[in-house]
Amino acid sequence: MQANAESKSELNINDKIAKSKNQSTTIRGLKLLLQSKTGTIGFIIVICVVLVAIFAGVLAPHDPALNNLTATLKPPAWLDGGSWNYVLGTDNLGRDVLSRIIVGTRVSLLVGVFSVVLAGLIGLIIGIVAGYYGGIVDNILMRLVDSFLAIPSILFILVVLAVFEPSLLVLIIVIGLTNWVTYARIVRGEVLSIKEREYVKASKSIGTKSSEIMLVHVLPNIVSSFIVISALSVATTIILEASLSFLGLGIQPPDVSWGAMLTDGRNYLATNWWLATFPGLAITITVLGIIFLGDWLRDVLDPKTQVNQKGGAK
Amino acid sequence: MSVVEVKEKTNNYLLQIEGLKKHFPVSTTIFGKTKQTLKAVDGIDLYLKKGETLGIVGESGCGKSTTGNTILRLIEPTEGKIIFEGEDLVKLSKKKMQEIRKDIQMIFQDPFSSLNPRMKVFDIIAEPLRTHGVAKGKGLEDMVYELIETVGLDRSLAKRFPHEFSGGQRQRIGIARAIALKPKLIICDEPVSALDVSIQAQILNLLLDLQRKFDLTFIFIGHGIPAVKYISDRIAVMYMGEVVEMTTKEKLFSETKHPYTKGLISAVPIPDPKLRDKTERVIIENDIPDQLNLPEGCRFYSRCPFGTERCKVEKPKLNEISNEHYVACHYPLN
Amino acid sequence: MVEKLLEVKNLYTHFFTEQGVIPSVNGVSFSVNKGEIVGIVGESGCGKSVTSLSILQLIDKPGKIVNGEVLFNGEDLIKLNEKQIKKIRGNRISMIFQEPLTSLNPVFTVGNQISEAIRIHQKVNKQQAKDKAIEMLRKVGIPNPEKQYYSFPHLLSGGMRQRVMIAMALSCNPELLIADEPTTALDVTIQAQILSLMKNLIEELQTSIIIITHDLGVVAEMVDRVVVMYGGEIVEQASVYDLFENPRHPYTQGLLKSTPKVHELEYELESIDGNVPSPDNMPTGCKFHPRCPFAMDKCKEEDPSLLSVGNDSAIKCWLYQDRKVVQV
Repeated sequence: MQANAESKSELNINDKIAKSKNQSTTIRGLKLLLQSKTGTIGFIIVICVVLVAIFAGVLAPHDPALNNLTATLKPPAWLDGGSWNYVLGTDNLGRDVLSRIIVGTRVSLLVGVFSVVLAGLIGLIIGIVAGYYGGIVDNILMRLVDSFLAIPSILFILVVLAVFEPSLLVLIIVIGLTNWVTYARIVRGEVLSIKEREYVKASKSIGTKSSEIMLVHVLPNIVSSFIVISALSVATTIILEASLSFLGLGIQPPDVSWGAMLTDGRNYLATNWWLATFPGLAITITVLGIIFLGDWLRDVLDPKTQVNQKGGAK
Repeated sequence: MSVVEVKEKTNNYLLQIEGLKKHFPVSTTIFGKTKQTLKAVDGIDLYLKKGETLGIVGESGCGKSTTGNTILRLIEPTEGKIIFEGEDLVKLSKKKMQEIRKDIQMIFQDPFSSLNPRMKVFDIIAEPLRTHGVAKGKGLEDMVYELIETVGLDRSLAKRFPHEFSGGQRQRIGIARAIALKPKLIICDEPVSALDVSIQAQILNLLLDLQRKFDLTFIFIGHGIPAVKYISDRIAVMYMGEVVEMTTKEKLFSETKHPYTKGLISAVPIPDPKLRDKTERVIIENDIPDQLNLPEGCRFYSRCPFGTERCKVEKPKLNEISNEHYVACHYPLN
Repeated sequence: MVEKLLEVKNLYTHFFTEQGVIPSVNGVSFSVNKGEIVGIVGESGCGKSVTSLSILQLIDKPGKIVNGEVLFNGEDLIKLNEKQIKKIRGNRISMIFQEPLTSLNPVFTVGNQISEAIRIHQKVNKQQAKDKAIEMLRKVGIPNPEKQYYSFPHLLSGGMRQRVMIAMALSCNPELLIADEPTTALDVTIQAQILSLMKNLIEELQTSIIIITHDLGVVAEMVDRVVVMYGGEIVEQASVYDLFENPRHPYTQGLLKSTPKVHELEYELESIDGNVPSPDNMPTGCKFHPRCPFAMDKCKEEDPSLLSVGNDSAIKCWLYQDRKVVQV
């Protein structure tokens, strides 16, 4: 009898939530996406950037490395002297800026995504192990992290890039190896707090193995903050890659990256502003898109976020 | 020899705790040597008969929750024996212990943090069954749904997440998880403290129903004396890591022997305004003394209205002063 | 004729969230006489704390008092501006909260905080404020107050901190003290100490008090008159003796029956079915009807009003509506 009364009122109370709850995760995610304006914008930007990276070869109107000394430093099409042949103008060697940005998307995105994946994986594993087991294991791993933190990362990257020939792979590895410590620290901190939650204790009291507890109880509960940090980190990595290229240590010609374009354009900033401005804009828009998308991801991954009719996720 | 051991060793003891200690290092020197220890549990003896409920009461910091956690070895004891069905749990290997946990389950205080927010109710209740490989597939499903109904929830709620439930309902989910493996002993660690009054009664009655239905033995840890009194058969009163009095519920309230127990009971406000000024009161003065510098003699001495010189220097032992009535006091009350 | 110190009339406090309007307090009216102790009882989400915060206009956004009057000595506090209300807060009406650690600033000594509070409202110099603070600390039973004056809050135990809060609250001789669950975070022996301290101080200082609590034991022990709240509304009001002897509202009855008793040995604890409703999803009609054992069809559709049933008692329930009674 009691059960009935309770369940009835429960159904009553959660009627609104129930409707949205019975939908699949995908539909719920999409609904949340539409609810959040920034999320929608971020999603669209990121999808576009990814598509551009994938189909760069088809989309680029010109060969990005092709010099055309008859058409150097042409302004964008809508300015005097510009032509629709080179929509965003050309650089000092007559290379099409638009094509270079399109092809450069690949490098920026590859470096951004994969070095974050690498750093994230290392950091996640080390952070979870250190946080969960504590004691000596934690001590050793965290001292390792500390010593990594003690080395200025830009110096480390410079040294490595001076020794090895800078290439896409080397860039990804070296950025990944310098960034994992941040993840390890954040993940460990999260694990430490989650470890003390009663549901972890409850699972232990049931007799669950440590490895299972980490997978079932700890990991899912840090994954949302982890993904959000990663999304932000993709953004900062794109900027880092740009800075390295700017220093001349990034991607080497004839490959193109947004950072390298910035470097090239620097000298012409006063006279031919479009050389540096458009790759800069590309970086800004992509980074913003990823950050917006990260916020949305956090909401989707939290089962507490409700889809509501009035708009605006809680 | 501990008090408990002197007692006839009948088979109906499900659990016997002898000289259990848990000391936490509080601060250490840079060389890793312990400077100060917090004696959270400091040599307690308890016993538990099959089918009964032993209440453990005491104020915050008395070691009652640590005791509960140590029994399951969620916290490793510093010293002592925990004999469960003739086997000393302290000596068991990790693997053996994990198997034993099937028989001893726990219900937690905070219904909000004791359920994983990212798991659905079904999976929360199924977890113990899966871990111990009790059932899978359709069998598992049936068992989980039956458990959900046993604790008074509707099976249609199985696919929801914990945050969609109220405190009382979450506690029901926690109870369903605890009884899933048909354990012999359930340790209830303040299961109603965080709940509203009208919901507390629901949960207490649910626990009593389940006890009758499944022949469960409970250790009920609580700081609310009325609730502990309602549900328990016997009650142990703890103060600063020690058991100061342990007896049947009837005797504890009608023949209170320890001044602390007396003070604890009379501190509870009675929900009847007519008794406002009529009840005799033993007001316990002062705060709990510093737990890092325990006094040599009786730990209650600094707050006891009846303390003497002897209490200050000599520590009273837990003695059986009448059948099943244990008191640690030099001058038990009449 | 008793003098009314505080009169809350038809108070509505709503929270305007993105999810919609949450009516936390919905038409609450009650009064506190001079020298009287009033208890507001109810479970989580019943609006008892929001009511007390509304009295002092301590409702933050997105909350807003949408309607009602809070007459303090005949003056409507809701109409006052921020500057005027600040003169009343901590001076003529003070408040103590459940968790004394978060209500005290950790970077100042307790003495400092008390004398600051005194200096805000009274024209005294530093030394006088300090003397007064030490006197208050002594009054609330803090041992060695001259020394404890210089203690930081985290060095004190929970009970001592609550004593400090009481000392601070009473330092300006307020006419009204609002105590929001003052002993909930404390151990039972410490609770007994604090309650008896409060009783003694009230007698000495002649302060009126509103105690907000979920503990019927504290109510029975301390208060003169009880206001029972459920779902943002008052469902019953009566003198404490009347309420415990003859609870009228089914909710009050259920609450009394589901409270475990320390002075009885064998008894059956009854419970109220169902769940405490959350403020953002209240049932229609009488808010208690889904849990009420006497619920009729009428209860589901129409909300009864709070009617006086004589003896300073009032009740909001269809079971009592047909009597010849006067609307409050």
